[in-house]
This record gives sequence, C-alpha cells and structure tokens, in this order.
Amino acid sequence: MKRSRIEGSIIWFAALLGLWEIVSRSGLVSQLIMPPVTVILRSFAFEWGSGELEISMLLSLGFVFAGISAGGIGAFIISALSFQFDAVKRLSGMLTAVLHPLPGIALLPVFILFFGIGRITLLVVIIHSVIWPLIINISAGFTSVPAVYRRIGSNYGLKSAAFFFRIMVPASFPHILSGLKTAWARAWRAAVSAEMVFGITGSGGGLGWFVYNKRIFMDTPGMYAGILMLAILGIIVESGLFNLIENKTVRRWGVSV
Amino acid sequence: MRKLVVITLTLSVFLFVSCSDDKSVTIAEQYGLAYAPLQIMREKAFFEELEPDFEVKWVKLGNTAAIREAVLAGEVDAGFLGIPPLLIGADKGMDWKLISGLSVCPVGLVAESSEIPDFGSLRKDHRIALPQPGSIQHILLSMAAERERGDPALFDGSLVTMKHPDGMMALLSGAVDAHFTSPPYIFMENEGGGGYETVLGGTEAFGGEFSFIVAMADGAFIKDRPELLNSFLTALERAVDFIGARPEECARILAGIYELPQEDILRYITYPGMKYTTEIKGLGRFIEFMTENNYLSSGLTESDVLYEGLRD
Amino acid sequence: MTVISLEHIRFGYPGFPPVLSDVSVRLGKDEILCIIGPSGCGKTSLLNIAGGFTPPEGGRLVFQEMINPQPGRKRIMVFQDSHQLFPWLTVRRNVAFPSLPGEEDSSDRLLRLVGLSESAEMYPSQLSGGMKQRAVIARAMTPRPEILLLDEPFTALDAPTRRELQNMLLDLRLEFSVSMMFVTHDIREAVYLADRLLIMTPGGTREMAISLSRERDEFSDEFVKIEREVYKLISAGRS
Repeated sequence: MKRSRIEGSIIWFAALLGLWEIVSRSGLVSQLIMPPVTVILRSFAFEWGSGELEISMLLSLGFVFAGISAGGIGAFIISALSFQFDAVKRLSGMLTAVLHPLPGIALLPVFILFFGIGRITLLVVIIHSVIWPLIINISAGFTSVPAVYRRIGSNYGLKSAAFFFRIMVPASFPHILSGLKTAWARAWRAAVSAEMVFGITGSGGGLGWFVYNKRIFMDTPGMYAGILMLAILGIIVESGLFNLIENKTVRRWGVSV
Repeated sequence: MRKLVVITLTLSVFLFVSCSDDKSVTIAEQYGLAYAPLQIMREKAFFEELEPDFEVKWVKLGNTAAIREAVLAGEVDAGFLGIPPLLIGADKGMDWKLISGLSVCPVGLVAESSEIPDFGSLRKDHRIALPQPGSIQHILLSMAAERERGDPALFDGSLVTMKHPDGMMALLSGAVDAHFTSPPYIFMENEGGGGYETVLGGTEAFGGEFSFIVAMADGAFIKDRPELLNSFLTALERAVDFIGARPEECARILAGIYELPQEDILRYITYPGMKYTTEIKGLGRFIEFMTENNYLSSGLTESDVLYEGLRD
Repeated sequence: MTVISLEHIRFGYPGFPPVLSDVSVRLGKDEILCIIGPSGCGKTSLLNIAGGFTPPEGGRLVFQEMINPQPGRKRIMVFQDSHQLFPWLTVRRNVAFPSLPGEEDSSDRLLRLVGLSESAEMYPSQLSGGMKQRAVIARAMTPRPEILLLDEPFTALDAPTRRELQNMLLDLRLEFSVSMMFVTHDIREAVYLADRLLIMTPGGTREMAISLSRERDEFSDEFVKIEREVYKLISAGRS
C-alpha cells in the first residue's frame, strides 16, 4: 500500500510537470508567467549554485523550527497547567477560541507595534500560528489518556512529575504528533507569507522573501524555483520526516492517530 | 489511476484559459492621489463617453507585480504604474508600452528630524520603509545614495517592504526610522506633528523632475485596437485638464472616494510640486541608472518602451 | 497470619441502596481469596477499597499496620480493563515500568516465569489477549507486592488460555509467596483457584473454605459438588 501511494504521488507530480511544460510551450500563455519546466529547473540549479536558495531555505527552516520549539514548549506548559487547574483551562480555552482563527498576518500590525520590525516579530507570527493548534491537540491528548492509567500510576507510587512525563506525555503522543503536523504546515505558511507582507532585504530573508523578491523583479523562473523549493521541503518534512516518526511510533505501537 | 490524472489535469487547464471578448477593455486601477486623473476619468465617464459601444472594466490590483501578471495573462489592457516597474517588465521581454505620463509628485524620504536631520545623517542601520524593492521609491533612494554617498546599494540592506499606510504607522510607532513615501502620506507625515520632515525630496534624489506615475498599455491592445487607445489617451488628457481647470470639483469627487475632507484633498492636489500632466519626464535617466545598476540587462532604450504614436 | 483485613466496610453511591453494608474479610499470607457473586453485588467496589483506590464510607482497611492507606506498590491491582499495558512500550519495558532504578534486571526473570521471554521486544498491539494478561500480571509482580488484587482478569479469554493463566498465577504464588484477592463471576474459576471463597449476594456475604487439594480436577466429583453448592448459595442469595 505504501509503495503504491508513493508511485501514485510520483505519477501525479510527473503528470503535472508534463502538463506544465506543454501549456508553457504551447503559446497559450506567456512564458513570462509560466516558464517551461526546463527553464525553471535551470534557474533552480543556478540559484542553488549561487547559494541564495540554500541560505533562504535554511533561514526559513530555522525560523520555523525556532517557532515550533518555542510554541511547542509554551503550548506544553499551558496544556499541562490547564489539565491541572480549571482556571487556567478556562483562560486558555477562551484565548484559543479567540486567537486560533486569526491569521498571524492579520495580527501583524499589532505584533509590529509591540515587537518592532524584524526577526522577533516574524518569530512571534510563527509562534502564534503554531501555539493554538498545539494547545488544542495536546489538551485533547491529555484528556484522551485512559482513566485507568492514573490509577496504575498511583498504584506504582509515581509522583505527579513522573506520572506526567512517563505516562501522560507518551500516552498523548499520537495527538501531540498530529498537532505538530498541523503546526508545521501552519508555521511554514506563516513564515512564508509574513515575509511576503513585510520583508527585510539584504539582512537575509527566507524563502518567502526569495519568492516575493523574484516576483517583484519579474524573475519568474527564479520565483518558481523558490516555490519548487517550498514544495520539495514540504514533501521532505511531510512524507519523509513525519512519516518516519509515525513509522517509529504510532504505527509501530498500533495506536490510531 | 493514470487515466484519472490525465482527465483531471486536462479539465483544469480550461479553468485558466479565460475568454476574452472584443467588446470590452479592462483597465487596472490603483488608489492614491497620484492616480487622481484616472479616478476623475472613471467618475466622469470620459472614456465611456468616447466609446459608448465598449464596456470599460476597472480592476483593482495590489501591486505592480500583480499588474504585470494580469497583463501577461491577457486580463488587463491598460494601467498605471511607476516607470521602474514598467522598465523591469519590458526588460524581461514584456510587450507593453509607455503611452502617457500621469503625474509628477512631491515624493520623498520622511524621517524624524531630530534623529535624522538630513540625508547625510542616514546610516546603514536605520530602517527604511518603502513599498518594495525595484519600486520608484527604491530607485530614487539608490540614485540619491549614489550621488551623495557614492554607493547606490548603500541602503539595500536597510529596506523594509511595506505598503504606504503600514509604512506610515511603522514610522510613527518608531518601528522604522524613515519612510520613502508619496502623497497623501508624505503630507500627513510632514504635517501631523511629531517632528517628521522630508529629508530627501524626489526631485533632489532624481536630479530633476520625473513622472511619478505613467500609463501603460498592452502591446496587443495597441496593435489591435489603435482607435480605442486614442480614445483612452484623449479621455486621460481630458481628465488631466479637468483637474487643472476645476480643482474644487475634483476635490469633491475625490473626497467621496478617499473619505478625506474635501479641503484637504484640494490642498493636496494643488500642493507645490504636485502636477498632473500627460507629459513623460525622466524616462531616459531611469533607463540609464537602472541599466548601470543591473536592474535592467537587455540594453533597453527609450524607443523600446515608448508607444510609437508618441515618438515624434 | 493476616496480610490485609477489611473490617465492617460500608460503601454506596448517594441516592442508591448501599452497595456494601458491613462487609468484613481477611486475607491470609499466601492465600488466594476468590470473591464471587452476581454483577452489581459490590465485588469490584470491595477490591477498589482493598487497593486504596476508593475510601470506604464506614469501617476500615488495615494493611501493614496502617489504617486506610493510599494505593501503594505492595498492593497491586490488575484492573478489569483490556488496555492496561502502555502501547508505546515493548513488553519488556512495560514489565520493567514499575521497577525502581537498579531493579530493571528482574524483569527478565518475570518474563521467563510468565512465558514471554520470546515476545519481550514486541509491542502490546502485537500480542494476543492471553499474552497481554501475562504481561499485565508480570508488570504487577515487578514491585514484589504482598498482595495482588485481580478484577476478573481472564474474563475475555478462551477456556484453555484461561486455564494456562490460572496455573501461571498459582505458580507465581509459590514463587513469590504473594497473596491474592481474585474477583470473578465464574464459579468454576473461583473453585479452581481459591483457598477460600467470599460469596457476595444482595442477601449478604458468606465465606467458604475450599478443602480440595492443590491438584484440582474440575471434572472430579468433589469439584463438581462444591461448584454446585456455590451455585446454590449464590442463587439463594439473589432472592
């Protein structure tokens, strides 16, 4: 089943590229907005060779990982406190309900007001985009822990901290993982789109800035090279990293996600 | 599986191929006082009056990149933008032409005068908000940086890309140190108190007068419907003349569009340095500077971008 | 010698007739006490009180000279729940879960005793129902409890597997000299395992010593006779 899924994706991807090439070369649309795949690939190779693409990629990845780490720790603490204290639960429930649906971009002016223009603000946008879905998932995970585990924990004399880390956390892992998947997707989008709204040139931008800048200067193949990079990273993390983690954990454990 | 892929993709192509019809003309619209003639032209229906058989569609696009893409997609026939983005498109092989000037504006770099009293005191670590790299504001800043500081790319690492209203907020909140902007924001920032002043004017940066906004038309539009283009230019001319002749009435029309007090608009459109004219100014200097600094690489000349009807 | 005693235990839920009214029972050293009775007679409640998971409303629990102690490592409960193993741990790690630092090695011996040495690196989801219960009981033995409290641990298993596990429990008792309170509604299982029965019915509780030798044959006349007697007592107590 797994193999056929990979084959399926490859067929789709190849078909898309093929269709792209055909449309591009057909003259139906201007090559200035839809350059041939071959031209895009050449541009990709060029940007990679010049180092610009890697640096943008590493910057974006760095931001996303920093954001997910910070957001993850925050979400973890808030979820743990909510699980323990009803007052915190009500507060975090209220905040989540209000803030979760708001795109980080919409809050950008507020963030800029408090954090200025720069990396901190970009990080805050990413943290905002990940912390709420993480809180929702981690809390759902904590709630889903079977009641009998608490009794087993007390039977074996586990103190609260040991109970939390040895039972609660691994028992919630399937939910935490699906939260992380959502967080990754949202952080990545937030990082890219925030950079498209406000960019800081020269001092180094991520892939969002790369794509934006290529578009502004009408380097369309370069722009698609950036988008291709985004897609490749998405596939690597989604099907590679997360798939690997799932195979090593929830699938091996036989627990549903 | 394979069959499904092919069918889906084939069908999806039709979504992109839009039907163009010969009975309409689409014009990209922008907001800002520098674009005032086109708002007048629209409100007074000057173009429609001349071409009653055509449907005139106005579309609003976010930035010059979107305008370029819409023109390439055949969705837009004519529009308005700064000279540099027009040149970047032409340089990349876009078939579009500069057909008319629209406005000359008092643009400039605004900063808190106690911190940055003049252009010479602007440092690399100051943050400068402007609409986007490659915009006319960016090119003007580079021109000034080259002339007065010897390095056109001096401030390229200090730029923060922001739309005018965001840039103004950022300047006032201290998130950026300077803002390269245009009317009405430049007026608001200068007159709003708080010690903000224009430390570098556009004319000073450019070394003369230049068209801030110009009109362009798609090459196919020019070739296929020259009469329509002429009517468009005539209507534009009338709108420009109308502003010059009856500024009060213009202010009344624009006040409704911009939701600003009529007297402020009147003051803005008659501000010293604010000129609405179809004359194209500064094209050669832009081409020269942008070619020297590698914004343009195809050896573009004035005649490559000017509409033939104007070349006399 | 008594290892745990429940004295005059009362328990109930507000608004309902009491589940337990004045139940007293002792568990001797190395003894297997089977608690049997129809559903709803309070077997599980009694076990939860013995384990310290539910405080009694009246009466007291005495264990290791403590009155009503909290749950602890010397009284381990095997809950009536098919998901007691932690799915994220291998069998070996599940069994070693309660061990204190330095004690992890003892899990090998327990795995051998319950016959799971071969499956030590498997995850719970890969185990059959019988193997799961073996692992659960091995884990319960890891802290070397004085008492095992078992709440219908073999109900979901087929008859041959159930017998294997019953014999395994008997072996563990010999090996570790652990006392057991074993709740079941299966009369045959109760008679097979118990040294003593606590028969709980709505009409009251009643103790009964099982005088059979350890090598019990469920088809022998004495076995069947006791089975029938218990059945009668339960039926009589229902009305």
